[in-house]
Amino acid sequence: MLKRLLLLLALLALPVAAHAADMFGKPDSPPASAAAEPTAPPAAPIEQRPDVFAPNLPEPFRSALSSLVEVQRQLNTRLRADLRDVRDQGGLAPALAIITISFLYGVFHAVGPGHGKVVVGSYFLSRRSRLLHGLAMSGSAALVQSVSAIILVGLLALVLEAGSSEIMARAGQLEELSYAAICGLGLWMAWGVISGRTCCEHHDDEAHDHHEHDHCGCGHDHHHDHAHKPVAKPKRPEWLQVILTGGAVGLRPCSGAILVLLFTLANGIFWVGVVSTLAMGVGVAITVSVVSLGMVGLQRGLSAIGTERTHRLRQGLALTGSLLITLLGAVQLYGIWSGLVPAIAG
Amino acid sequence: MKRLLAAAVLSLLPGLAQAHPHVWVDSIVTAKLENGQVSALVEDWLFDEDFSATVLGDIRKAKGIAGPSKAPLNPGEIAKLKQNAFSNLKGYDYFTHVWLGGEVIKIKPDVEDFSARIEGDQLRYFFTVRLVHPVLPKGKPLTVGVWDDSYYVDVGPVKGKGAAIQGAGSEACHARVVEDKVHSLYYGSIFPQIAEFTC
Repeated sequence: MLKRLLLLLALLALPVAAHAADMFGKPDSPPASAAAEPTAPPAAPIEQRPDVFAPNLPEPFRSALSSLVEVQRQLNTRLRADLRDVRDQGGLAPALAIITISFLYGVFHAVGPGHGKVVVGSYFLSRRSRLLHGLAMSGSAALVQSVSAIILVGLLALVLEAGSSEIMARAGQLEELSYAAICGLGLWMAWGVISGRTCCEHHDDEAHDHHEHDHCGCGHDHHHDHAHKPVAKPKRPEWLQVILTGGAVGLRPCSGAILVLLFTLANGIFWVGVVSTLAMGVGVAITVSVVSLGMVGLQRGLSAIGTERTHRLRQGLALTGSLLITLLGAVQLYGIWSGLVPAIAG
Repeated sequence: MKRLLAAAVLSLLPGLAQAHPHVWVDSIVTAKLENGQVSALVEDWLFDEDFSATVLGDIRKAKGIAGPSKAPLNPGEIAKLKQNAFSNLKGYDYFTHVWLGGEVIKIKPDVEDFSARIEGDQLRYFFTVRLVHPVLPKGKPLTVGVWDDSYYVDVGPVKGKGAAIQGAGSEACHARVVEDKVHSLYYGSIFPQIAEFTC
């Protein structure tokens, strides 16, 4: 934890990246078309972008996603009203309302695209894991996400008195770091699978433990030797992998939280923003947990009905999942570095 | 081409998805009739409190935890606002998409009469977008959608009065807000509310 904090602090000391985003989440520099033709007469009309749009999402998905956006809009309006109440009147009631609304906002916000659900989902769909792993990854992702927003705004705005554009630019850097870390972790996971350290031994282990248990159970010696309890050996590399992956996903702070923090900071009620951000984090954790636990369950269901019981197949699946995560990190990193996608916190 | 490629990559990879939007704007679009034709669009954007406080905090540096003052903006501050939190939208046509009967109508690259003011906790922008060639929306409707393709910013018309038309001869014209089911946003899920003008 301390290490991660230090890393975060070190990052804040770095110069701001070139592909920073403005207040509208757009690259700070003019887009490629404008930059490519600096000699164009300024009076000429802008080359309007092609009139191409994505096809409508099929119903009922379209209505579902659009309702989700509407719910978020209403929660956001409500949150702002409550924040104003706390500022103008103070009191416990609006503060409690803020916590509730922030929590709900977190739940619904994380249902929409983003928030690392693909990374988390890929991980748990591609390998047999414990439910606790699912909770731990989701929880660490949400916690790190909240804390990174709080540290980012607290340190930059409160201590260094930086402007919001610099804060957004730093958030963009954290996003790049997050993708790089996801990419690296994906490779590490793949190595873990190939070397057989982190994957695909659950079945064997459990069988082995039971076996041992059966054998050792006969001796009921009264030594109360707790160290020899027949509990499955904790897989340290796997736990570390789970927590680190959550942390990598969460490194990228949520713009929603940053904006609430900046608003509360500007209104002298920063602590309310901190509480709100943490409550949002709990909400996000719940949604992402549902996804990860669902994937853990789905994976188990599939492996129960399928012939996916051979060690080699499980290994292959886990390897695919790891490489998919690497690819996701790499593509997103490429998107930012090539300027296709501005580095903004989602 | 690059944008198309980006759009393709974006839609193919849900991992790139961002949980949006983060900025909300209530808009009013007023078409201006000059010499019998629509020559310009006057836009009025009211920003949400978070965005307003953030942007205001940048131009009015407040020391420590006390927020920036809510005093009226002076011309210097308005110029700074334009530079900090508006001009960059030039590359995005100021989020303004114009069609005449479905055909794209070009707008001039620079806006006119940019101004801003503080209303309570909210920041409000006013500016005029000029059409390159004035048009008369007769037979074909002139439609104006104000939206951010990436949906980071959610612009929506003010309820009940998101569209208006002014100028000599505007009595014979109609302005209303309609749902655009062709240009959907946010992975094809949001039908933007657009202004429609007919004369």
